[in-house]
Amino acid sequence: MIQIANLSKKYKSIEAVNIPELIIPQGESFGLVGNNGAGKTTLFRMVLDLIRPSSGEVLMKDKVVKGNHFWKKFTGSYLDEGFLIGFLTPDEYFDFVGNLNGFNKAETKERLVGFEEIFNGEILGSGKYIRDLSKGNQKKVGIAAAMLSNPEILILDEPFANLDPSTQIRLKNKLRSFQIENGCTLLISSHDLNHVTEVCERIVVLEKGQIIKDIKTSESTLKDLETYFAA
Amino acid sequence: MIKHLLIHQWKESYRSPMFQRSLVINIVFGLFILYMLASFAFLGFFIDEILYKAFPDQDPLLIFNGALVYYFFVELIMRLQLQELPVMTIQPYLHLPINRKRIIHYLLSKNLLSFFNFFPLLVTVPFSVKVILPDYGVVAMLFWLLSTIFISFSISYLCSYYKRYIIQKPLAILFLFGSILLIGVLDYYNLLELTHFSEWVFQWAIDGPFVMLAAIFVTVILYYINYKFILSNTYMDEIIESKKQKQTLTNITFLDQFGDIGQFILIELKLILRNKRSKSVVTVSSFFLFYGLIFYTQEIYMEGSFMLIFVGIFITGMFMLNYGQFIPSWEGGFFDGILTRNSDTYRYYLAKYYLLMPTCIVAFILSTPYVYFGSKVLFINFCMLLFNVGINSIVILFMSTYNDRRIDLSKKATLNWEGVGASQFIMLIPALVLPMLLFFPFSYFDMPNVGYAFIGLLGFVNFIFHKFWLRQIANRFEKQKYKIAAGFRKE
Repeated sequence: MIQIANLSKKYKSIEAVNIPELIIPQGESFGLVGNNGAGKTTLFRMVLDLIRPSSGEVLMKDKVVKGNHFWKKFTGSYLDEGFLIGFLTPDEYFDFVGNLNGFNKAETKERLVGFEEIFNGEILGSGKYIRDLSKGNQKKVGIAAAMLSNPEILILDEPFANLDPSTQIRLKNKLRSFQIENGCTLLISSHDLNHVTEVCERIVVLEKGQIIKDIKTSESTLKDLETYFAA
Repeated sequence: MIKHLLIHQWKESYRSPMFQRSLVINIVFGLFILYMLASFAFLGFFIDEILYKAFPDQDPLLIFNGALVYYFFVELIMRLQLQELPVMTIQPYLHLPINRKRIIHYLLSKNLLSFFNFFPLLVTVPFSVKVILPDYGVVAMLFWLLSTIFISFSISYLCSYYKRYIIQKPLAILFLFGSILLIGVLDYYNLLELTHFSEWVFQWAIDGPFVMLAAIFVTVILYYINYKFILSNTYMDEIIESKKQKQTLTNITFLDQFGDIGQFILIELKLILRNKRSKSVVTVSSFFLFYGLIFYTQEIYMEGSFMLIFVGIFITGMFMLNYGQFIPSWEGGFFDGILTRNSDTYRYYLAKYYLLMPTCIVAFILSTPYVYFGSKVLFINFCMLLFNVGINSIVILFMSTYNDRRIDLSKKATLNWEGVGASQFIMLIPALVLPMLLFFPFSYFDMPNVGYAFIGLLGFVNFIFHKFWLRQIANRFEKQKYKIAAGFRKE
């Protein structure tokens, strides 16, 4: 589904990302972990054609992502608040994103029903602009908008950060069931080793832009990761 | 403590985006300020002679004193518009082990160091040295000067207090402007003799210390009121403006029939009307509809032709130029979202074009009453409308691919240079100079009407090809987008 070949990004002399090869097959749930500055967000941004790689390329369905639009039809993503339109209400924003994916207002509303549990009654119909929502609620809006079109590829940067414990657990279940039901390829990054090992079948550890570990999740994965990061 | 605050203050202004701009713009801006300062100083040095020439049989001092009251009214209004509320900047200090009261004292004294407080001195100091000093002596001069300075200070504190008050009770602004208007009207019909009052007060200020002392007293009182007010309102939740906003444009279904383009336009209309900075572009642009009144009423301009081209371009294109020059900086806050959404760049620009073009047409329709000044005016404006629609909007959109400075939509508009880069100056050249160049040969051979028509025709022909140009712009944007997005992420 996603192929990465010789991908690198250099800022002056510092190498933010350098990945010779990474293949993510369709339907895989892929977790990216690493400390601050490891290059997680940079990697996601390159996958989404938001920054220009210094070398190499990203392919989705065997076609080059860079400079193309085909992938936007089947890719949902939310990295940070830079994806949200602050002066709209959540309802308006969902309608807009729904419209771009060819849904009318009623269809959009129907698709959002499944998110009620996560929204906790604070998002829809609140009448607040997105810019006035709390960080956690903004994140809920962004994630829901990314999942709205049942994308084949879903990319989320630290989806659990800033969320309250209940929502973290609900979101975790939601992501798992969403991934299984839609056969969607899921890419998430997280600082929460617990959550990421529960959601993802495969974990990649990034350090200084390089892949240090690439493991299939098993019972011992969480312990392994904890030992690795404690060192 | 105070030392640290002052250092932070200095860093805040020095590191503000204003100084992070390119050198050229800083120089242009610097020259502009120098020019303003020089003009005022010049005025200060020669105002007595100017007044003497204008009113030979009256005492310049009397006239100056009489005018002061109007000046202070203008100052009051200006300050209400421009003076920043320093409240927000104290938030990062509230949780630190610093005495709350000291922060407030610091904040309030900072008010006095504002640029506005020094500006009038450029006029009053030379004037008082030249006019008051020889006749009344140095003590009287100081009385007078200090009176004016402290009146300025009181106005400054009055505005600070009032602005904070308005946040809690927005309708209070009407009361203030109402009273200013009322005083103005009463004065105009000579029911209230403000000039005489002002002459009397400031003559008194020269004759003795009373006015000065009163002004100092009022300043201290207002300082204290501000102090009390802030002290009881330094809690986070009370500082932040109340979040309940009225929502505009919630039920526009008209645009639904235009698919994604319609949605893009709707979102952009919401952007414009729900944010301070962009809203003020609308206000300023609507004022420009009256721009014609300055020129159409004067024969000297009506006979010439170059000036009318300018006027036509501004009247029909002010919003397009003014708003368009900052595309896509307006959307800097959610640019990554735009790049990943399910749509392509060409349609993005198509939507931009279909937003800008109608604004020109609307401006033209609103300006049709100018036909009162002759059908020539209407004809020129129509030709310039075509030029704006066909060429200027395309140029503006092309230049937009060079804008990588983001605009914080929530910030106020006055004196805000955010988003201004070299491209804003460069795009003026084709927008204003090109029609002049095109017109020049026709003017030379004395065929102005053919010239206007030619400019309009050129615009129209280019309009037919607008989709072609928008595709070129979209291609260029594709190459530039990484640089633009990186610039926007920088804050």
